[in-house]
Formats: sequence, C-alpha cells, structure tokens
Amino acid sequence: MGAPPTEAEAYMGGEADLAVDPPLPSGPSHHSAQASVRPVLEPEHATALPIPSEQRLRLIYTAQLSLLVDHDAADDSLDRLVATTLQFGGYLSIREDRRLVVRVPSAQFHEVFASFEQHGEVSARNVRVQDVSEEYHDLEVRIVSLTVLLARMRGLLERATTLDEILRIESELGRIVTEIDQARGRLRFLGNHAAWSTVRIAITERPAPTTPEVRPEPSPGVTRLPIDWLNQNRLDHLLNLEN
Amino acid sequence: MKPISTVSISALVGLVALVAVGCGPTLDTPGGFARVDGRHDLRIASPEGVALSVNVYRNRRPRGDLTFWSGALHARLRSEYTVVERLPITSDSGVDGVQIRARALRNGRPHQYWTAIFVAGRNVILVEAGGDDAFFAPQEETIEAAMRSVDI
Repeated sequence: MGAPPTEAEAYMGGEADLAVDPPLPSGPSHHSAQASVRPVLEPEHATALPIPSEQRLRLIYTAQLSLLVDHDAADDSLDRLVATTLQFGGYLSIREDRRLVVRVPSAQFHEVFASFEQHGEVSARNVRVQDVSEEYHDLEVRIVSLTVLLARMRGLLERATTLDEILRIESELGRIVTEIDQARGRLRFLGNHAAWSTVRIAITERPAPTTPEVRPEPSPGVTRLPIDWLNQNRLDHLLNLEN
Repeated sequence: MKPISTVSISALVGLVALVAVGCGPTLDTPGGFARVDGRHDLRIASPEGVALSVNVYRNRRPRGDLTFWSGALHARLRSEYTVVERLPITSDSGVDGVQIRARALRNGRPHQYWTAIFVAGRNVILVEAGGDDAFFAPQEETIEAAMRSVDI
C-alpha cells in the first residue's frame, strides 16, 4: 500500500495534479451543473485531456419543420424565426426564399423548436436524434489510455541505451501521438455537433383569400312576399328570348 | 257524336292563347325592334338583344294599390340589382305608374334593367326593358317611349 501510484492510477485520481474541466456549452447532462475534476499527466496535453464522462448524454438533433403561414407573410415569418434563433443564442446558417437552416444550442433545442412551431401552422415536423454518447465516451477513454502509454514510452525512452531501442521507441511514440490527435479531432467534432442542433424550416404561404362575390342584400327587415312572378330573376327571364 | 281529335284540341288551345295575347296590353314596336313574343308574354327585341316585354297579373291575393305593388317591386329589385332611380311614369293612355331603373352585371357585362308597374282595375301590368348597357344606353329615349306606349 505504500508503493507510489502507477501513472494510470494517478490519472484516475491518485496523487496527480488536479485541473478543473470547464463546463461544456451544451447537451443535456446529468452532471451539467457540476465541474468535473481531472488530473494532469502530460503538460502538452494538459488542457485537452477530458475526463471520461460517466452518464453524460451527447445527442445530435437534426430537425425539419414545415410551416404554413398566411398569404404574403412568408418574409415576416422568416424574419421572426431568425430573431427567435438569435434570441436563444443560435445562428443563421442558410436563408433562401422560403427556407431557413439555423443552428441552435442543443441544450435549448426543445424550447427553441416549440417556439418555432408558434410561427405558423405546422404541416410537418421531423426530429431525429443521434446518440453519440457511447462513441464519445470510448474516445475519451482511448485518449486517457494513449496518454498513459505515451508517458510510459517517454519513460522508457529516457532509459533506452541502444540506438535500436531509441529508434523503436520513437517510432512507437509517433504512432501514439498520431492516434491521440485523431481521437481528439473526432472528439471535438462530436462535441461541436452535439452542442449545436440543426433545424431546417420550410415556409409555405396559404393561397390568397378569394374575394366573395358582392351581391346587394335585401334591406334589413324586408321579407320577400310570396308572389311567384315577383320573385323571379326577371332580367334573366326577359333577356332569354327563347322563352 | 263525332269525338274531338287531338289536332282539334291543339288548335283550340293555340287559338285561346292567340286571343289572350292579342287581347292583352300591347306595346308599340319601335323601329329596329321586332316582336319575339314569349310563351306567356308580349315581347319585342332589337337585333342586339335589348328586349321589352309586358305582363299582366291578377291583382288579388294580395290585392294592392300602386303604392303597394311599386313598393313590393322596388324591394324585390333592390335585393338583386342596383336600383338607380324610382320615377313616376304615366302611360300614353293616361294611367299612372312607377318606373324603377336598375343596373346589374350579367355575364360580367353591365346591363340596364327598367321596369314600369301600373295598376288598372283587377290587373297589375308590368312593363320591363333590359339589355347590355352598350346597346341599351343609345336607345334610352326609344325604350322610354315604348314603355309609356303600353295600352292598358
């Protein structure tokens, strides 16, 4: 028990230095309100090392929404949708004549989407959720493992005595660093995608209201007398010369 | 006794109808107009379809005076057309009546529709004139004269 902790044990919370991981910008999480604590082993990776998140959900939302709006109201509706997006901290990605693509913070996805639905009559909606929590967690674990391995190989390199040993260890170090970089890149990609949700909105205008035929109305209180000849459409009858 | 044939009945009905039309009120037929009598009324028309007719109805159930009938006609026309004017009119034979001038859209074209109503004894006499405004307006004086010419 008195032996010093291994490098892996140190990483997982032994005697290593501690650093506070900043809260992620988005994503529903069981721990979102808590700052995670992680040790630092490698100074050059210190700021990038994530702690493997336990139950943290990484969800990528992709939604499509079709809205029916009043005639000649498409532009106003699009303006309001963009304003709502900005209000929730999102941003406009594409704006076309009758189409919007916006990105909104995933943490507020449901709230934003419900707000979008208030801007017209919903004719179609489609929400897809991709859960990348497991892949994200696997990557975090892999980075931890590779980092521990990297430290060990560097230790071996310091103790290497022959040229052959040095060359083999440096070759292995290069492979490990490359793998770490790839994993970190993929982790960043997933993190960004999970942090922002994409909403595609299509606007359709209702047809112009038809003007009802204006016909003179009987004066208030006037009731037609039950006199057949008086109630005929007399002009039509008069001008129908085949009668 | 010799049975009455179908041909004889038809001839009789025709004769009665002819007498009925012939005996009713008539209108002068202005130059350029011709008689195109309908099944139950006297009618004249121009080549462009401006038409005048006269009909006679029994003044009973309800039985009313000129004020009643002109008011009833006015109310009825107002429900379907745009009434422009309501004027007194006197037939050439000296019977007072009321003339109501209205406008209407027919097949998307503006039309004029004039009516004159007279009450004489047990009859209500209705004189009508109408046609596409393009053909009616140039002949307004002629039409007015023809309406007054009704022989009640």
